[in-house]
Amino acid sequence: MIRVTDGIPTAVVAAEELLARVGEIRDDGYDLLIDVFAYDTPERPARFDIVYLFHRLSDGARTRLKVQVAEDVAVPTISAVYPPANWYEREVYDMYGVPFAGHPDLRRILMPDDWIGHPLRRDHPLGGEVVEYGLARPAETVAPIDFPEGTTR
Amino acid sequence: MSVRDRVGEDLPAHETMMLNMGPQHPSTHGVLRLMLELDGEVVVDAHPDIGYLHTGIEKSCEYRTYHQAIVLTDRIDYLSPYSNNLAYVNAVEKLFGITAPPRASWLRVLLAELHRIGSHLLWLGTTSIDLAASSMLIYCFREREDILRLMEEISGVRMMTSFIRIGGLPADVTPAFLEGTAAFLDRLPARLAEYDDLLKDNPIFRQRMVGIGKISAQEAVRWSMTGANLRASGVSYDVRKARPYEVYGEIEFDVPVETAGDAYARYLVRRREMDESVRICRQVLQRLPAGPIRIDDPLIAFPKRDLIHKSMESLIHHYKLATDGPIPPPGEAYAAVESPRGEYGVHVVSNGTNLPQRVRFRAPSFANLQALPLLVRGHMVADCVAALASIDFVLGEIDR
Repeated sequence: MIRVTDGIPTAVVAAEELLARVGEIRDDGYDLLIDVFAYDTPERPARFDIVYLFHRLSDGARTRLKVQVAEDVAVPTISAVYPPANWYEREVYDMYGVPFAGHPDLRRILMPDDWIGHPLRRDHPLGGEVVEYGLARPAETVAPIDFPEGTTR
Repeated sequence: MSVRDRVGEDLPAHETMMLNMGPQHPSTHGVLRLMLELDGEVVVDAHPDIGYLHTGIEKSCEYRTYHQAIVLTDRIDYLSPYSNNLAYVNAVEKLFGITAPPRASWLRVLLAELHRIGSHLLWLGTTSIDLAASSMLIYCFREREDILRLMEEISGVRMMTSFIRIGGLPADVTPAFLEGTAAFLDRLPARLAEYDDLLKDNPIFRQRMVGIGKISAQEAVRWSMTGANLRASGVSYDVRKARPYEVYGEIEFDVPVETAGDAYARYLVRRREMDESVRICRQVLQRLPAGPIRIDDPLIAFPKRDLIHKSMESLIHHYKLATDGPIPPPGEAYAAVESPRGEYGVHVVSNGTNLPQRVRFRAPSFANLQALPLLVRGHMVADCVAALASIDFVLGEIDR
């Protein structure tokens, strides 16, 4: 597993064990869900790491979980246990395309509703949209503007 | 199913109406679209729609060196740029296993607290003008102007200073900055007392803020609120105390807590946080140690400017750091700071190349805003404005 250098205990769990493990974390008194996010390592078949970070108010302890899944593999939602996961999981879905099974409202949250693709995937281009003078479109292919006779420039 | 489909049915005596607030709106504190479900004047539910300020900062960081990415971070929570810089650089420093030298660490704390004061002043001004106390905006921005001038003194830039480097600071502060800061800290408390006279026991301010946007400690924790929002409900969680960073562990300060959990309590917390920030800044000025402001590791931190002209090795190191950038060993690290809005954290993943594999910004406003429906249900539309303002969110960090 990748080296963790911030001193927070980190465990990798299978998607099937996630809910059980999150329940245990809740029972251990971790009351704040700090963050849920993902990152993409496309060289690996299980390309997505979904990272969950929890905090315990009583003593300031932190714990971290990771689930590693391939494309199109569903991960159970933890929003029933930790409600803020609702928006966090929507963002992971929006940016990576990871489906969260049982999520009450799984749809894009940052990108426009009709966007195609998942922007934070490593194979999604940085300039993802073809605009007239953007990164994705070379200058030569821009058509010259046709000014009709009698109109000024 | 729309109303038109139900013509001919016995429709109920009233139905809820969807009122769209934003994304362009003077009181949504940014490009937030808030769909309010109304029963007359009363809000039955609120549905925030975000993403209007999404500019792909996290993805952009993956195309920049660790050093270049610093300038992107200012613009996330643009009302408190230094806390963004600090959290990111702390995370990268954890990847390298280094810490900044003491003088740099003390100065980082000073700059972070000045930005906290500036952010709270802006919050107070904009909240007041939302409630039609428009002079407050001008007064608060007058104070803020002093802070912006101090930033300009050391960095040349008023807001997005990026006055930080991996391993320290880009340069030392000037004597004019230290004198100007001391003078500012002497002026501020009397001004804040004037603002108390204007607002704190003002019947109109109280009517608009007391009992508005109430959230219990239990609900606030359940919805991962952090910052003044949590502390106003009685939960004393502050990253500077719970998980100290830089030299906060060596500084004496209190964390204000209220229990009412309403907009007025959040005002009281932020107001007192400004006093605590002044206290912290004064301690920094008293105890600021002498010494270097950047570590001396040529593979990570830029060599001193004058050495570039004298030493071939320093020139080469500078060149390599400016082009390839510093290269941390593979690994990941999370570093959090207490920004004026709550826990602001950065998680960096290194794959051993000169470009970060992933930079994740945990924005406190993202979680704080998710709890908005709980704060506005049952209130009237005008009180939504006060409740929204009392959360103190920034769309830049919500959308990134």
